[in-house]
Amino acid sequence: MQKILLVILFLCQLFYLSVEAEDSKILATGGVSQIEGSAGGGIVPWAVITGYAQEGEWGAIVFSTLVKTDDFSLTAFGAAIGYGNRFEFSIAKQSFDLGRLQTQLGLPSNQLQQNIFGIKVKLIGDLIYGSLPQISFGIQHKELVDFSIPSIAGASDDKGDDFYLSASKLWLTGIQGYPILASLTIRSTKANQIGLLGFGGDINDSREAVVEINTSLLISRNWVLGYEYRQKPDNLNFASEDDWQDIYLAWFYDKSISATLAYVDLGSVASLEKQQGFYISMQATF
Amino acid sequence: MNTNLLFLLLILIIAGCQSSSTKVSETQNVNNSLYLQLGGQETVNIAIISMVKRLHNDERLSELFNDVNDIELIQNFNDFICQLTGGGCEYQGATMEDIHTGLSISKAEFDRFVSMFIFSMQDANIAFPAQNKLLDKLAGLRDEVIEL
Repeated sequence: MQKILLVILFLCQLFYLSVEAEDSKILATGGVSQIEGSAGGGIVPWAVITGYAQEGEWGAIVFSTLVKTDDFSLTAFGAAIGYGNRFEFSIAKQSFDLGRLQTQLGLPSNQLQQNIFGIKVKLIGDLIYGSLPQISFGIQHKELVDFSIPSIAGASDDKGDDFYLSASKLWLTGIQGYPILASLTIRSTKANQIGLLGFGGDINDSREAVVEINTSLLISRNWVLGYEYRQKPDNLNFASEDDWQDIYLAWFYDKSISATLAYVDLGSVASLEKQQGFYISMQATF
Repeated sequence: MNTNLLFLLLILIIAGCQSSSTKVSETQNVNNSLYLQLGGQETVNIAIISMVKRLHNDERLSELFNDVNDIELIQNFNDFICQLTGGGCEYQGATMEDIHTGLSISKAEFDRFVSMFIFSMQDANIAFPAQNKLLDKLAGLRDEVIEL
């Protein structure tokens, strides 16, 4: 079922043709869809609102993402709408394939799945204009589809809410006329491996504030080169959890299509060390 | 946290802040001006003519330019950009505030204008860094244009 949906989504993206590219916000300032469905980079949400809608306008996006590391693969797909460059609502489904870990540990299934419902509100400031950065508050409500494996791993809950505050700023003149976009996000979370391994655990069962950063350089009107770092909690005794980071190249064909390719380093995931690999994501904007 | 990478990030951010805060003191020397980086009079004029065409064809902004004399508009636009970018011209037209007062330009309209101007600069093959330096100057005028 999910594979069919992914294929449909991909076809939609492939065949969607842009009609009018000259809309309000500047290209790339809507970001792309991060792995949990919020507008941002690849793994870090930014303060920007998805799409290119301005005051009084609606915008919508769909995305699909594949992350493939040495032992695991993670797919995510979803949709989001933005209103008036102020509100963002998003929905995403993530499926994490455990690969060889299933037979190795004798697990009941080879997949971890969760649904994520996100909302983001721009509070103050502007990405480009004025001296204040754009500051937004967001919530990501996450629910696991099946709690059996996270429960075996020592997680306490099958659902959780991440709260985050994000500040983003674009300096147009950046380095020698190449713009720089930087984001700082502070997240309060109990999620293990962003929620795929449940929430809270036997080592730590309380909320933790983690820092997530993104810095990117606009190397042309269509290409963005970026680096992200995402701090993560470490709540489970059965496997230590590392911070995530990636280097990405995003391509904005126009305001309707973008693709992101990244090299990710997820560190130790579910007892398997040094998970590195690639990340590919496509987004269509309407 | 990986401290090396964090350090690198900090340097990038600081570099970004510095280059945007020193723009005010950009040299008055015409030979080294942003105007020349844009390509000088000929290139700027191509971008402006493209922009005026785009404005007249735009479903949302065209009505703002219905009663405007195109020859004057193009001349003033050229002089304005030239003066703004240190090209050594003198802009004789009305101030941005005077021109836009009473028009209630919205943020969306301003952003649309900027988006269109990017396409116009591309039509004139203006280099990406020079485009951004000019956009930064135009962005600084936003409060003299919108919601008046």
